[in-house]
Amino acid sequence: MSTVNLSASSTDSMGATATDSASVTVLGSAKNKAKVSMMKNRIVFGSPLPGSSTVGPTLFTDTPNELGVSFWVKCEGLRVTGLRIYKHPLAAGSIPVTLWDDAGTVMATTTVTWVSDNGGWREIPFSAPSAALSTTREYRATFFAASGHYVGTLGAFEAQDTYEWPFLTKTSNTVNGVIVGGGVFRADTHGVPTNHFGTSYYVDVLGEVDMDTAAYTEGYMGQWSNYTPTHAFPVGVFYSDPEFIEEYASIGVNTMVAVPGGGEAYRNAILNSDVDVWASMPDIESLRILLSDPELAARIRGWFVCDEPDLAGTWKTPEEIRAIINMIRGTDSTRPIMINFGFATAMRSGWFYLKPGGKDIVGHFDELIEDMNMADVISLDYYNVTPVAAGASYGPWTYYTFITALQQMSLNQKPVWGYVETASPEVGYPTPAQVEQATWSSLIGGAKGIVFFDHQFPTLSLPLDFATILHKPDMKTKVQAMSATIQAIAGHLKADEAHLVTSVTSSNTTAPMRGATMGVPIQHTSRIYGGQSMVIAQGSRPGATTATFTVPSAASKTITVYGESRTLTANGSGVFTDSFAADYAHHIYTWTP
Amino acid sequence: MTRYEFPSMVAKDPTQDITVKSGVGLIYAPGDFTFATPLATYDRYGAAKATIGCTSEGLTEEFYVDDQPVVWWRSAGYAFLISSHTGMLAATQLAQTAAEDAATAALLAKQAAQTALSGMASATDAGVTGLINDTTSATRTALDAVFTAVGMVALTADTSDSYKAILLSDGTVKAVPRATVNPPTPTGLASQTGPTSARLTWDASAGAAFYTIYRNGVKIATTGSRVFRDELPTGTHCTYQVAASNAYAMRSALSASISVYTDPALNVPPSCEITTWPPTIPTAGNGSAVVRVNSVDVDIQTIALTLNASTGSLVATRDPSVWILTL
Repeated sequence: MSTVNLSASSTDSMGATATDSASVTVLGSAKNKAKVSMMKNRIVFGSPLPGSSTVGPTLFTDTPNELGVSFWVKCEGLRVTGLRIYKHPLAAGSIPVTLWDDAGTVMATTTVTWVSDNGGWREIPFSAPSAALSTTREYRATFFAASGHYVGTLGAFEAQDTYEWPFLTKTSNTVNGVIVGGGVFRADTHGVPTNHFGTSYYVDVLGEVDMDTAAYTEGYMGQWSNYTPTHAFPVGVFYSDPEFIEEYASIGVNTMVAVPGGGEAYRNAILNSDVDVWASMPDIESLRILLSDPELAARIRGWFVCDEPDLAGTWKTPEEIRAIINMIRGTDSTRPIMINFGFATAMRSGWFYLKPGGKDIVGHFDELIEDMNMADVISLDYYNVTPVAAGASYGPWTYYTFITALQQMSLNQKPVWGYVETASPEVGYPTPAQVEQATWSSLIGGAKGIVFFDHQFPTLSLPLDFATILHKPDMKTKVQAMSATIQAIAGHLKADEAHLVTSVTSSNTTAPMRGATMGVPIQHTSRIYGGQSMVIAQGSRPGATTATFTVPSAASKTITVYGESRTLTANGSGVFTDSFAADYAHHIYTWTP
Repeated sequence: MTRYEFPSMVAKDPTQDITVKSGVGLIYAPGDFTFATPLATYDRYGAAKATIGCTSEGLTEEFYVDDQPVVWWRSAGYAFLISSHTGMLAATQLAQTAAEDAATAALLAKQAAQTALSGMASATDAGVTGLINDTTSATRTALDAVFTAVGMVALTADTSDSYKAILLSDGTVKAVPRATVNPPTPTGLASQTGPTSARLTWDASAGAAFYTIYRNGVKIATTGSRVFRDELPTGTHCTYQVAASNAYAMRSALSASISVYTDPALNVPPSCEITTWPPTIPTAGNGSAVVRVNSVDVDIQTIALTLNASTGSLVATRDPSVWILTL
């Protein structure tokens, strides 16, 4: 162990100076590895054009083929650790799984033996990770469908390039006389595939990247000396009008996101309601007015810099965002910066490439990655309880993926907050039950704050209402109860993933496919806080199921199901079973290790 | 009984500069007119009236320029339409009997309106939006025609609400609810002075929609807040006053003034605190740490960081408060 000494000074325009010195401990530790996947966080598996499928693959019975995906990586140092393949239920035999470079050289491989079963996603680690991939070469990740059974979605790679950072899949086309991109296949025998096609064969690529700087963990927010929230876990609302703030606070909506800091009405409401505030600052003068108001400044936890810079209507370049951030840093570096992204980031595909100016999808998303790197807290709003269009209702399961997608895009270095709509930005109001489902989906995904979007814009059938939670009694009751639960388990929700669950099986394997998943898998997270272990689990698709958890650290423990006045008992191996009867039902299990 | 009403106007920007123009007094003082009894109150047929007009409720309740009365009235069988830049543009005789009403009153009113509008439409009165709503349909129709012809908002409905007209010094005529009064003069003006700024606060004035700040008697800004921060050279002496305006830009008198001196001795130094992420730095070859200098100062601040070690390196980032430390 050694130490490093640092000295800092800050000098204002009058020449007054403050200094600090710090002696920082240096300890040996392995580099952090960020895990990345090409498909885990996706919500659309075919063409993302309106009305297309969010469902998943078609089952094919054919002759044996080598099948997979052509891809590029846009991140230095990425190693492929394995593939994740959607298994056709009847797929069987000895299945070579291979990563090839564009010269046909095997970069990594393994072989699995499949038998007839229910099918579905299978994670297949290579016997050893590949060497770091080049950012300039094409690679192909494939498996050999020995029995001729495989799954696919025709045309998935035809409509657009898809950039699931750091993985780029291109529309299959001809470049310099050679067909590249898209799905790849080779008929009859195992070997490097050279035929390109627009079909996705549901071959996912799993990788890891050594990180130069630390991953997000719970202590992250301690970097900012004035990030001192009053409330344990942020339950926020986006850009409330001042007249609603006190009533929001009274039901546990404790954080005001993207509100102007100035103005008499906001000032009074903020000081009267004890809320935490992420203020949006349009200019330096507003910032100074706010900072020179000690009472109000004491309520400001962070700065909300911009909303949806990924969309055409609200697009900002990284340079524009940097200018705003540095304007703030020029007077205050003691509070974190927040940026919220929109549905272009959520979809991550060419069709939603909305940025003016003509950059390709890589340039587009590289700018968004740069935006994320500038922010200290990131979030994403894409409202999928209320369907975006008739026939395109995605559902609460997608909220989990938005959190994990941003985690991946930030290489796990940023805390991610989740947005849930309580009003109707799209079509129709969400029900209180749907809001609850989406909220827990976000929290299980690892959200470190929840923000409700509560603006109802006027439509032919709905009036303007910028505080619908407060005006719909059933929603208000639900939000209040949910907020209370979140605060009660805030310590666990803020804690890092504890990986206590070694396996979970779901009895429902037959519910119709949605989001490339058949049945009702259980999504879950586990946390340890204050001497209490906790697992939060949710059915990740509509439908009833019974889940069997294996949690070794819970062996022979009595498990309390939080808020449900019942207990379960784990067996000597830590196995316990519970029912998830309603769509997207969630349970919170706690025990003392 | 005729009721004169003014429909709601499209509000102009209430934050724009407003100064009382000269010429207001021409209208304010009845003696400035050649009519013998300008304060007497009559209905549109010349009969004495008691409710809405001039004398019984007083001019001061009816018509205002900023906070001064005027603009429109009828009296002694005449209707007066007032322009902002001349004070009075037209006086026209109204019908004297009910029998003459339909044709005569409409014609005269139209003439009056045309005369008034021809002046109001000049370049200096671009903001004029005032209308007169007479419930007598003939007059209204006539006025409608005139207003429509010159591209102004026509009278489309006769509401039961009563309005009074105000003439703002920028030339805007507004109709405001009759009961609207000017906000009271702001009190409690105080300053928190620094070496390069004065931060002003004051108490709320009832009905205020925005406040206007005057430095040394000259308007410098308007704000919806009760906090205003003015950047000043160090060593400046100046005085401040504040006025309150309501949503119709009707303005209070100026507050009591306060004096400010931007004394260099008042500067509050910035704060400074180093944090690192992660708090414990991985050893050489195993990555790096974010070093953040937490500093806050209302003035522009300059942050510097140095590494007191022979090994490792600090790399500045595009964030002026963040460095990457690599060992």
